[in-house]
Amino acid sequence: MAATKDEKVSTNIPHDLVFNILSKLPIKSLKRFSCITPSWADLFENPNFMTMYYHNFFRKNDHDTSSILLKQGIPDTYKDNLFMLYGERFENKVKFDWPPPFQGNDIGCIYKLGSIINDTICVYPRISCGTQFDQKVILWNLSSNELKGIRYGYVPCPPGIHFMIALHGFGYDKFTNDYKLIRRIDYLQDNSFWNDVRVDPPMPSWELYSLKSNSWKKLDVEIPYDESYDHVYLNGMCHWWGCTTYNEEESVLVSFNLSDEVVYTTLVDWNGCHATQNRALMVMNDSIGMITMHEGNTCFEISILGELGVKESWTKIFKIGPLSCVAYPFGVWYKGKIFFHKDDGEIAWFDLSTRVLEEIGIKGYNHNGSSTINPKPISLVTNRILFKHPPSTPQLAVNFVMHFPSFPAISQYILVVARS
Amino acid sequence: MAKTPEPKRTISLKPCDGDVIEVSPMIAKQMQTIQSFIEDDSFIATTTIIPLPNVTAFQLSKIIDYLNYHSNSKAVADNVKESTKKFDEEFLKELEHDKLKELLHAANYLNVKEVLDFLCQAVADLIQDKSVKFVRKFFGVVNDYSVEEEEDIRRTHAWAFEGVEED
Repeated sequence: MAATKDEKVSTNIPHDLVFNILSKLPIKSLKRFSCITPSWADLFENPNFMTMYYHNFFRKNDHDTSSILLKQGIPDTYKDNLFMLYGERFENKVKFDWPPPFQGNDIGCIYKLGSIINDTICVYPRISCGTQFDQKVILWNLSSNELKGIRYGYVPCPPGIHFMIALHGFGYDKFTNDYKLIRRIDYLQDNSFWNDVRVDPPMPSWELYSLKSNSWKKLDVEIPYDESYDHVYLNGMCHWWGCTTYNEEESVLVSFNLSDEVVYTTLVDWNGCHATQNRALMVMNDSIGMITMHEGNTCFEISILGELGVKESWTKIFKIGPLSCVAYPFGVWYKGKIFFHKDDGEIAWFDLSTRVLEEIGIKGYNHNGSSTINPKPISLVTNRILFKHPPSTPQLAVNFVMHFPSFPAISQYILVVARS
Repeated sequence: MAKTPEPKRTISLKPCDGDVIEVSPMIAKQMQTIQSFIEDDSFIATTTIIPLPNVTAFQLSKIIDYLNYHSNSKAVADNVKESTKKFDEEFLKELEHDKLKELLHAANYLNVKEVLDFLCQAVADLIQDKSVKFVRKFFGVVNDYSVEEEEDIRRTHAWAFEGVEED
């Protein structure tokens, strides 16, 4: 009897309200509730549901006014301009200066690592390989304009061996209130005929830097990586793409937890999108998202990850296209807009709600001055930060796009900025 | 009391139980159902009492409280956000599951978008980590899967069944 009474009370939540409620749920809940009733089973295929889902998805940062911070390579040099673009269509442009460590004549391309965290971006000059570095990684607080330099430090290296450093993650450990960096050190044999003793180079090693202790420590783990250099930070973890060591064809999302130093891997199915420049990693509304190009590189798919470590939890939420003349995605997600590099070098954004593609009126120049744009993508960052610079501009929140260090041919950074 | 008759500035709403509740036109406007009453030619602000047979006095005053608070705190400053969050938490605290559903019905009947959205989010937050059994009961959904079909779905999405809260 009690059960019937309960049922009576529970009935009659109108259908559109049920969909409204469901459209606010995370993917994990939706997958679980797919076994409640058949009409809830294929919600991501249901246009009515998707309309509501998108509505919520886009509404998350509704009241921000978006802008872009753009790093533009100066042709025939290794220098970069830095612009801020803001306004409804990014039509206002303000040029501003790099901080002092990046103003010298000997400074070439400047790269950014991972996401913007608590107003802070991690920038560094191009790393050359060698046995020691004088250069520093700079943590730049865009709000206070405070700079912190991080040394690469001494890396012990056997004779006949040199090393290369690849930075993989910039993150924040909220439990210890500490900023951290992750780097990989690859050891390579010196390519010298005078070298009598051939030594096998050591295996790559991984190190974690803590700003509080101002030191690098060795991590006793093997971590997958690949050459795509997409890095993002989300909720205490640094994420990047990798190949598993036992099967190079097998791609994973690597997620490094900065507080307990545990590495999670999630298998990824590229669905035929194998070229690294045709895909990008991004943070979308507090989830890990990926964008992949398909069908002769005219169509794009966006999936978000429901649960770390679960391949099946990648859920396709957008299909875009066919779009003409689009070369590759930056992977910046901002306020319902996705940024693309076009065939002719123009930077364009695609509004996912209106399905309109619009150029921002800035070309992505390429450093060696040639007209071909190396299609290697720029990895991106999607956290918003406060921005008090330049002083004439009101407080702005920023998203940044970062560049792939090994490809100086492209030098385009995008920061998506939002007034707070 | 006053001799010169002042134009009445409030709208009178009569819930299915309890006394007439007066609301400002600003608040009434946000309730689409009331708005269409007001726009009707037969509506006279001074005398008309709008009957709300599907809404209790408790539900109506909850909805008015919510609208009052939120129309006064549109600012985005952090301290305002903080106190708004607190208000919202307190607002939901006194609502058991059935009351929450009933309030959702009332907000739906009055067609007040801001409250509807807020309550839908509250329900979503409530059920997010709940079991299939809980949600079926909550929505009064009859299970029309066969045992095999349901088993199959559970197997396919096994990961989504981990970390589910106790009912």
